[in-house]
Order: sequence, then C-alpha cells, then structure tokens
Amino acid sequence: MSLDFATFMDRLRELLPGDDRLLEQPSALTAFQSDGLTAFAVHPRAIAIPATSQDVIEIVKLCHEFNVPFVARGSGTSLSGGSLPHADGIVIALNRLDRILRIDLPGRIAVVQPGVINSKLTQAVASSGLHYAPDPSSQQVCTIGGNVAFNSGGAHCLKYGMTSNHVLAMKMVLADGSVIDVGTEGGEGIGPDLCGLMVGSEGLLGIAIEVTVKLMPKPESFHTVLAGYKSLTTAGEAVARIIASGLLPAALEIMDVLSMRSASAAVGAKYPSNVEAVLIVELDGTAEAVAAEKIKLSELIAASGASEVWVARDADERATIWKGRKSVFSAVGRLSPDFIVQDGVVPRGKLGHALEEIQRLSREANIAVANVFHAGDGNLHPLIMFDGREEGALIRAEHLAAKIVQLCIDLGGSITGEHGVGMEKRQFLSGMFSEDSIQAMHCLRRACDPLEIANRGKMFPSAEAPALSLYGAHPLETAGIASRM
Amino acid sequence: MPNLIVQPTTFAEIAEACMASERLLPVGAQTKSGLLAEDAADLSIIDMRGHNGIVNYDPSEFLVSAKAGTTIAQLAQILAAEGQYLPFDPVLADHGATLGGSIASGVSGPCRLLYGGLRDFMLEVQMCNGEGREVRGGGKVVKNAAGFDLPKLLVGSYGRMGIITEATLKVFPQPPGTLTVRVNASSLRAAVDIGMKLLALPLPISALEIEPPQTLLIRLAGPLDSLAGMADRITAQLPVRQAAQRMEPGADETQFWYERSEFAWADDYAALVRVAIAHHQCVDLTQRLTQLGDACQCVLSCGASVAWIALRELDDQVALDQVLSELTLAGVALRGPKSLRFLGDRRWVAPADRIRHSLDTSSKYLKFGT
Repeated sequence: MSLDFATFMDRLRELLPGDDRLLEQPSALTAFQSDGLTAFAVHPRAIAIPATSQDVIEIVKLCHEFNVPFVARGSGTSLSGGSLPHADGIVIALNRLDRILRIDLPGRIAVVQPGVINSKLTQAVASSGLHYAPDPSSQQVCTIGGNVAFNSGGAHCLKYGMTSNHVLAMKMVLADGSVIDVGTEGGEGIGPDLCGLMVGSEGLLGIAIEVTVKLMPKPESFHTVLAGYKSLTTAGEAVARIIASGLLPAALEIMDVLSMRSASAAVGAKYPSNVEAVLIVELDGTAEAVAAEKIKLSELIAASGASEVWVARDADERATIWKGRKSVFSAVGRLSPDFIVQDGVVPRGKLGHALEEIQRLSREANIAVANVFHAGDGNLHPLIMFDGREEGALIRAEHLAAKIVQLCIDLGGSITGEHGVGMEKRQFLSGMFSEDSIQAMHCLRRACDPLEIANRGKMFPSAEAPALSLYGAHPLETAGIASRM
Repeated sequence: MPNLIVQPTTFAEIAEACMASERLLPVGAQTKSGLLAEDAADLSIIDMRGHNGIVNYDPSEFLVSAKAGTTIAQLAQILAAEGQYLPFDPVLADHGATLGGSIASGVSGPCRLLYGGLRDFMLEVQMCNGEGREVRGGGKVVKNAAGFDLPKLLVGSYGRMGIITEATLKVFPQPPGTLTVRVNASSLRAAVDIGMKLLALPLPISALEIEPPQTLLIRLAGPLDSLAGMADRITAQLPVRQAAQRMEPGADETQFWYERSEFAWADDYAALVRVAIAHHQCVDLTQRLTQLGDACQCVLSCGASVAWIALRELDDQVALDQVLSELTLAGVALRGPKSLRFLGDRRWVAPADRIRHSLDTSSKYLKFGT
C-alpha cells in the first residue's frame, strides 16, 4: 500500500467513523466483488458507505484529491459489469441513501435519493393513482441511482420510453467534487439538456445524489393478450402487422420455447402447448380507448396465424403473464448452471433475420440460446447457456456472445438497448462510433472527471485498463487480481 | 469586419467552412431570431437551409432521419402521409422552422404532453465540430443505451456546441382524433389546480394551457369514439359553476392548436420569451407580470411547465429579467433584443459552458455566457 493510499484511507476513516461505514475486511470485499455479470470479480480496496449526500460529496472530493478510482454502486444488478469494482479503488455503496425526499402529487414528481428501490417508489405513491413508469425486470431490488446511471429500460419502453424520459432533474456530484443541478421540475429546460447527458453516463461523470422523477397516472385499463405461434418468424410478423396498423401497444414481447420452459420451471408459468413462440401484447389507457383498440388488436391477431390466444381476464391473470415474462433471466438458471445475457438492438424489420442468424450461430457453436425480447423495440435478450465448470465453456459462450453483438452492429442496430456498455461490451463501442465520436465522448468525460477516476475502465475501449477480451483470459485474471465465477 | 454568410449543401462543405472560420454560428430559417448572435463580429454564419432532405424514413421502424436544413413542414407532411407524426409538437413550422433549428432551440409545442418533449424523441444526432470533424451519438433504433447521450445534450444547445447536421427522431402513429375542452375557472389559482388535477387522471391529455386571467384549455387525443366520454369525465371533475365549452373534432379544432404552435397570439408583440416553471410558481409569476401592465401577455403551456411571455416593447425585457431573477426562474428570448438573450436565473450557464468547451476545444462556437 502506497503512503498516499494509506493517508487516503486515514482521511476516509475520519470521514466515515464507526465500524460499519468503511469496510476493508476480505469477506466484506468479496460481497461487493461482482454485480449481475457474475462472470467477473474484482476485490476493491475498500467499501465506503455514506449515509448522507454530504458524505458522498466529501468522499468524491477525497478520491479526486488522492486520485483514487471509485465505483458508485446501488444494488449491483448491472448485467454489463457496470458496477464491477476497480482493483486500485473503492466502491461507494449508496444503499443507505434510500429516502424519498419529497413527493409533489399535484406536480406529479418525486425527489429521491439514489439508493431508493425502483418498486418502492411506485408503492409509496400507489394510493394516489400515480406510478413511476420504468419497470426493469429487476425492479424489486434495483435502485433509482443505478437505473439513472445505465438508463434502464423495461417492458414498456416503446410507448413510455426509458429511464432518461422519466428523469426531470438531478443534483450531481461530478467526479472532481463539484456539485451541479441539472434539469427542471417541469421537464422543459433552458440551455443544453445536461440532465439528458448525465442519465445513462454509466457512472463516468459523477454520482447523482438527488433525482427528480416524473410520476405518471396509472393506466386505468389494460388488455393483455398472450398468443402462441408455431414459429418465431410468424410471431415476429405479427409484431410487424400490429405496428403497421397504427396501434401503439404499451408492450410487445416475444418468448421462445426455451424461455417458456424456464419460466414454467421457475414460477410455474403456463403457456400454450406445441408452440415455438409466444407473443405478449399489452394495450393500456382509458377504458374507452382500450375498448376501441382491443377489437382492432383481436382482428390483427386472428389474422396473424396464432395457434392459440389467451386474453387475461383480470388483474391476477395479467400479473401471472408478466411474472412469467419477468422471471426469465433468473429462471434460465433452472435449465443451465451459467448463462450470459445479451442486450443488442436491431431495427424492428430485421428481427426475423436476426433471430434466424442467432439460431444458426447457436447450432454452429453447439450452445443453447434462449430468446426473450422486447419485440416492439427490436431489443433482443439472447440468453447464452453454458456450464462454467466445463473447461473452456465460458470462452466459447463469450465467442458466441461477441458474434451476436457484431450481428446487431452489422444490421444497423445497437450493442445495448438497456443494460449499458459497462465492462462487458466496451470493445464493441468502436463498432458503433467513429474515433472522432468516441474522442468527443472522452472530452465530455474529462470536463467532469479530469482524472478519470469515476468508474474507470468502463464503457470506453481505453488503453488505461486493458480491454476485457472475450477471446481469452482477462489481463486482470492473468495478474491474479480478477477471477471468473 | 462584416459577417460572412456560407450556404453549404453537403457535410463536406460544412466541414470546410468550419475549418476555414475562426468563429461560427449555424442558422436555419431564423424563426427563433433572438437566439442568433449575428450582432457579434467576425462570425461565419452557416446557413443550413441548403443541407436538407429526408435521409431515411421507414414507418414500420417508428423513426425518421433527416438533414438539419429539412423544414419541419416537409417532415410533418411526409409523416402524415403514413398516419404518423412528431408527438413533441414542433413549433413555428408555418414560419419555415428547420429540424436543426428546432433541436438547437430545444422548444416543444403546446401539444407535447402525451408522450414527452423534443428531447424524448431524439434517437441519433450527427454534428460537425469546430475542426470540421463528424461526431455522432445515439443510433438509428428506437432503443439504445450505448455511449453518452449526445442527441439529448444538443437539445437546447443554441448552435453553441457544434453544428447539428443530421438527426434521427422517434415518431408515433397519429392519434385518430382530438377534442378540446375550454374551461372558465374562477381564478388563475383555480385554473392551475384544476389543470393539475386533470393531469393526474389516466386520460390522454395532449395539451393543457392556461391563459390568464383564468381560462383553461385541455386537448384530448384518442380513438374518435372515445373522445366524448373522456370529455364528460373532464367536465365531471369541474366545480359545477364553471362552464365548459367543447371544440369537437374537426378542421377548426386542428387549426386552433396549429395556430397556438405558431404563436399567432404573440404576432403583434416585439419579444417572445420562454420561461421554465413548475405548477407552484404560476400564480406568483402571473401576479408579478401584471406589474408590466398591458405591454405583456402570458400563456402557461405544456401543463404549466413553460410560461410563454410576449412583450410589446423591447425595453420591457429588462423589467422581465428583473422579475424572473427575483423568482429564480430562467428564461430565453426566442424573439427580442439579442443583448438580453438569457433572462432571470442564469445558474445553468456555467455548467453548460463547461460542457460546451469540452466539445468545442478550438473555441469556434459562441459561449452561452456571452
């Protein structure tokens, strides 16, 4: 340990007195070594646990003063390794900043600390008829701060947008310790949209210490349909038909047979038998609007070649359909000891082609891939299954994952729809953006973080921390610093 | 030195102009003339109107890509032919507003309430930096989380962060019908309270404007058969004595809102200022504005999140600046004297310039702080 780092730790201890606010023992560090991307693990030097916004500001200032990298972390559900610790730095765990600071029901906004759990916010305002719309599958555990950092999505993005469309304003501590306010309560700002820049910046610019979010009226009426198809292609064609009709469903989701099998095994979800794919379509809105639109939808589905159609008759049946859909990521664990989730996006019109290609690549590699996706957005979630105990299995799975990401780039799409670039996809960023564009992003980062200490080594295919190669052991692994689980 | 006017038609020509110039200001149709700074000397004014045209439009993808000089009117026409529209309700289309200018000014229209403002529909942007290099952010897909969100950052950049050369926007199916309810409330406070109450209902309200002293305008959008029932639900929320009139679906109703997105009500005024507010600031602001007398007219728009203030005399802008400063409200003059472009609370300027400078390392674009 360098003298400087020892001094840094002394100062941090002064800042965070008590025995539960600065964790240094190996068992504690192990608890924070991975996030939702469990393939990677790094022990940080320490875990700082601030209790107030001011604590966060002081910790960041100290990190800046001593040039110590930090990773802000909520519940650690990132699927892209976004909150993987830095071996020479600290983790700032924001879970104790979990207060809802203000709810303005007439103004339909809430001001929250970053550690507030996504679904707790909706629960807190439930009696008012309002809700916080972004609903990532992990909403029972993930934090608003993490959602903000990675611009999380969910099943209802087509109509309602992603996290960035629901964040109106923020108080941020930038990585150099300065504090700025961005955005406005009303959502109509003056000057460049700095709030828009900060959301989805993957923790590279600073830490949000107060987040003002939009609350929306809960739709009063839903119409949720689950339709079974003999092939993924016909299910995909049904999506195209619905979109072309002028309807704007709140959700359009497709699950393939492996995803259905997983959800059935994990939560007892039921699906039509003898189908290769199911399409979930949800209309929402006023009773009048849904009544008019559901007639149109039922005609479209009847003409789409569905072999079986189930309509949710009440809130319980709707909840059952969504429980199955949202369980898939964790449920795949029932079918396979390990898996990698991909998050690429393709233009909606190329969904069928993308799925065929994924199936071909899966056969070629002899690796099972379950497909569940936000069809309305063209956002794929192939779940690549493997057994990490088998020699070389992870590497082969990562090879396949890399081919799927490249496929999305080649089809004119994106490497990530909602999980972020993080650690996992950084070498693909240059597949989407030119050197000049990435340079501009570097400049934006340095304007907020001149020392590049905030979430160092993420998002950019940078030289500073060698790129995480999907083609062999990571340099941190070779050095014995990181390990795969 | 007099300013040089350049009229490029390709990205290469834009890049060439950027490299050859010391100081740059991109302009479109100049419908938000207050934002321009052609009063500054030694500027190369890049007139972007010649760099126009739809780059790609596939209705089934819900997105359209176009060059910055494309007019909003042209875009709207092409979308309408496929039953789609720009849900953020772009303003000043009839005056010739361009796509690039609309993004750079960051202005959404009164009928933006259904799905969000301009920022919420930005998917991808291409810009030319001071060195003439192409910088892109976002992607040509409706959902994307890769890289920093440059498309949003450039909303409200006022031509000071780079030249927006092309953009991709998300588009939606146009609601089949619209209907407007006009309510005469008992006071401005009552109008705001009713407005907030209505916006908390699960109704597809696409516009909600308040005209002082106490008129409330509510626009509903949805299937034609559903509109009357929803309008009944709005009137059921009103105190009995408050009369509500309806404008039924049809050309007159459409024209009524179109004129509001053209700011026809402010045509005879010398200055037009956009102020960001919250619902609880509306009463204070309008009371303070009465001090300016008949010389000033105000509309509270977008569900009381924006105040549009029109001033008869340019000199009144100084008084307005004072009022906004006292209420810590920020404003920008889309029309008016360029010496007072940004009004009231200017705390947004320093961080904006910090970010601006990182993109404009050769300092060719104007600072927000000037």
